[in-house]
Amino acid sequence: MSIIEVLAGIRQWANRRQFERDMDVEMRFHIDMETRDLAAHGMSAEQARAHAVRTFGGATRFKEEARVALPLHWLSDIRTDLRYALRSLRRTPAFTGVAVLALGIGIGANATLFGLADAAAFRPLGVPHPEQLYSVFGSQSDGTPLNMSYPTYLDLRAGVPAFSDAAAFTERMVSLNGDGTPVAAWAAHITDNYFTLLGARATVGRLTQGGDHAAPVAVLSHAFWESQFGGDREIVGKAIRVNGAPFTVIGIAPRGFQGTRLFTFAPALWLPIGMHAQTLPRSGDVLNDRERARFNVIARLTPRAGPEIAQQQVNAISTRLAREFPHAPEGARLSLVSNRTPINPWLAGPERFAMIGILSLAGGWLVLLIACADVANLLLARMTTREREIATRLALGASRGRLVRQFLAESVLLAALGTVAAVPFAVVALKGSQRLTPPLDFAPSFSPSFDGRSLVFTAVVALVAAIVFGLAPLFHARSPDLARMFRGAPNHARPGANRSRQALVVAQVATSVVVLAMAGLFTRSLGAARRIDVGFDTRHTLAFSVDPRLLVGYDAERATALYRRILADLEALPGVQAVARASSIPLDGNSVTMRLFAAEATPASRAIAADNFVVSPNYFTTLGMTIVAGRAFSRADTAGVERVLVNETLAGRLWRDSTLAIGKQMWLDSVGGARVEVIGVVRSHASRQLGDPPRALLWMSLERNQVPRTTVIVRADEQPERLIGAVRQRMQAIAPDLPVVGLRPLDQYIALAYSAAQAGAAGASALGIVASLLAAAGIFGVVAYTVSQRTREMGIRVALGARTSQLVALMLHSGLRPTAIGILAGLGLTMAIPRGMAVILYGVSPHDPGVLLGASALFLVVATVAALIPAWRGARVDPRRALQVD
Amino acid sequence: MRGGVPGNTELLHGTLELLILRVLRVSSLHGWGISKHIREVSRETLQINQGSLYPALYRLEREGLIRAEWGTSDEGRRAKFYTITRAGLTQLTAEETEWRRFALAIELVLTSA
Repeated sequence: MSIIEVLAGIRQWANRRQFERDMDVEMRFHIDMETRDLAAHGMSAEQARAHAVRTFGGATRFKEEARVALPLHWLSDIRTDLRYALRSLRRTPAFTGVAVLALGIGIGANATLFGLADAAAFRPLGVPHPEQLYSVFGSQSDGTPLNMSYPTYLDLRAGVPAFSDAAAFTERMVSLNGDGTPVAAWAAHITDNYFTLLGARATVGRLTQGGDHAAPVAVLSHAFWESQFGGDREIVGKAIRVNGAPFTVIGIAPRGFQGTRLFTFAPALWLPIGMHAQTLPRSGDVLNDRERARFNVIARLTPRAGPEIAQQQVNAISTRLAREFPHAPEGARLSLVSNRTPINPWLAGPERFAMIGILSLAGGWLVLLIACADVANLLLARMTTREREIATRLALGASRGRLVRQFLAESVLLAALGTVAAVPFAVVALKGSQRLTPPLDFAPSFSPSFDGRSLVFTAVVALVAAIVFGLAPLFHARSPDLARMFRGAPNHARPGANRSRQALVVAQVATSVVVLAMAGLFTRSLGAARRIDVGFDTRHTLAFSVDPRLLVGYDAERATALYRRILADLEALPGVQAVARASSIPLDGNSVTMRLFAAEATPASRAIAADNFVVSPNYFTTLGMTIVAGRAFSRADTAGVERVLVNETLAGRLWRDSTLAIGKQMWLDSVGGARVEVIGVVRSHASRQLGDPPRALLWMSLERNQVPRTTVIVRADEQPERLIGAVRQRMQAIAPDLPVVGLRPLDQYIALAYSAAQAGAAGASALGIVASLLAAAGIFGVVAYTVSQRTREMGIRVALGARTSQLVALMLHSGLRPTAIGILAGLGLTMAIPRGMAVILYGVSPHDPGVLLGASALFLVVATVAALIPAWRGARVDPRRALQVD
Repeated sequence: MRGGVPGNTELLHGTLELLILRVLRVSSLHGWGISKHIREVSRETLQINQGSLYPALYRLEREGLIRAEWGTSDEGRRAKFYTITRAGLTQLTAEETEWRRFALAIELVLTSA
């Protein structure tokens, strides 16, 4: 087809109305001429006309065939189909309403789950070629990842040809002293090539680049810029004070850029690592110290290098380093982990996140299937009431294909309406999901939102749904028996359709039971997680953290005096039992790991890694921790060799028995390093994440070790929430320049540890409710339909003296039979859940009988109610009305 | 004998366009006129079905081989007249040649031993 033809064709289509009128004129002219011609040859006028008209053929048919020759005719056909579909749907508002609602829920649930899964597992970093990005981690003997030291980072950057570049960063809290109240913010300290390596572009101003290694400049995150400075562009170029030191804001990071790590704090600002003296207190010589492993390293591979080659080169470097520096903390193994999507190897590798993402999506598809089954059922019912219409259209000459297209148009329209309903549902649900995150000191780097990708996904899902539920009822749109049709049996029930409907309900029920069972499993798992003995008493306790280094003019003495005042003043508050301090508390995500070596030869004289806490002497009593051997810190421990407490796990690893540990000595960090002596053993409990095996823990005394940033623990007589205001006021009075971070009850503090279980339970329960409602709607529909089909029969039975209860039972049967089958099928399906699921469940087996029975019973109740309503209404039919012939 | 079912001599696809172009080479005609002309010249053998004629005319118009104009018929009625274009003339020559070659080939086969 040449371009001329295409243009002419488009012109013809655009002028098609005129074209139709022209066709009319031409047609009439033709018939008139033919009539005249026939009459001239001898026929009578009427005969001639009749003959001419007959031989011309049906006008409609002619126009149809001429129209088919029109290019793009299928476009106007689609428009006609859609208009007709809209009219037809408007005629049955109840059906349309329920169908759109069911689809809205099904599609919306999918869009929500996709938004969550996308933000957690699938969405790549918003920078060019994210597949080239890899992070480098060391690993401990038990597999937990370790950061790198700065000199190691420099070695990697120089010595791995497969890296086109490598950058390093470390994150820490800083204090922003604007005007008035100091604000604590999470800051990332980066090498000057960080942003250029990633390829990010500034929203306003510029980002740090080569040459900014030690410049007093700062880049703000988009979210922080909006929340703290109102999105005012004037802030670029102005100075802000970070920990009292002046920094110039040079630019704003791209919107939505939260660094490269997932489920950590999102950085509010980026500072050059060369300025660490101002921004990382006590950092000292961190850029040259091989023993301080606090840097994350991210590298970009050259386009031609593959990760295996890069890993080999990295291995070569790590082997060399292990030889030269045997006590370097990174351990002998450095590994590359893909950073194409934001990752967090401390929580899970990218593969594990991807699996969770796919599982969530699968859950969504299940819900959608149920919704589609609902709509398909509704369409089937509607189909039988439209049999007359179908028969008439077939008789008038519509092709089967045209009818199929018409019904597909209706399905697509329903799906489109369902999508429109689904979008606000998903937007609200995604916003609500952000409230599932536990209260944290700073905003987490996880922001699910309904964006372009979700929209595309939603549209695809809607299209698939339209095809699935649109085509299903068409299997029954075969040539109906025309004679039977017009004989007046409008509610003629077709066994085939009924069986399909029952099968659909069975499928819906089975799926709902599975989803309900999952919800039950997650909820029980959450309950188990909450009941885990964390080893200390979290009730009646408040906690918050402060860092005096953020004060202008900080020094160690002033910090000590400050803390003494804080503890004394807070203890004096009414309602406070005790106040203690600690470098961090277990399960708050802040613990520090160090290496220990047993000082004497023991059967297990290798190094172990232990989480280290530096605590005040009354820490153990304030938190209610159990000391199983030895004692806690006392006055005597301020002199002599440093004393420490260990937990049972550590004692067991080094000396087999807790009691044997008392009096033993250890080296910290390196053999021949600082010596400490064990004076007590504490009972073991979960340390970093619930469900992890207990870790080795070590407690040192704050009297001997300066730890500027500490968590203050306030034990109250009763409701700790009542004290929040009083504590805040007192802190403001003692140190007005010091930000108080995260003041809240202790059990909220450690909620981080079971936030995953909580989110899982909430999500699964929501899905369970949705699925059950949809399946109940399906059962309702089936029973209502059966009732409408058997109205006449009911009338006869009532006339013959049947009791209401008997009729109700009869109707119930039609709904409850598929329900029972479905429940059994669903239980069977749950048996097929792989044991592998136990990984994400605490203390609950995937085949827990209590949960399965509970889910089945719950659904049975819901189903009975759903079936009872139409059954009851149908049983109270007036026999006279029922027996009328339609 | 006129009347009856429209011609059941099946025309090969494309042949109808050839005939239309040939008719229009002589003079411009409206749709009915074309149909009548073909019928008479072919001695009633070729009776063009309206369902085929007009789609073919619209197709030829789209391809730029004929041109349509509203005019007045002999009887004073308003009708759409079709005229062949220069491109149509070229196409007609090409198709005529092709048709003759085709017909000759069939003839050869039919008269062979």
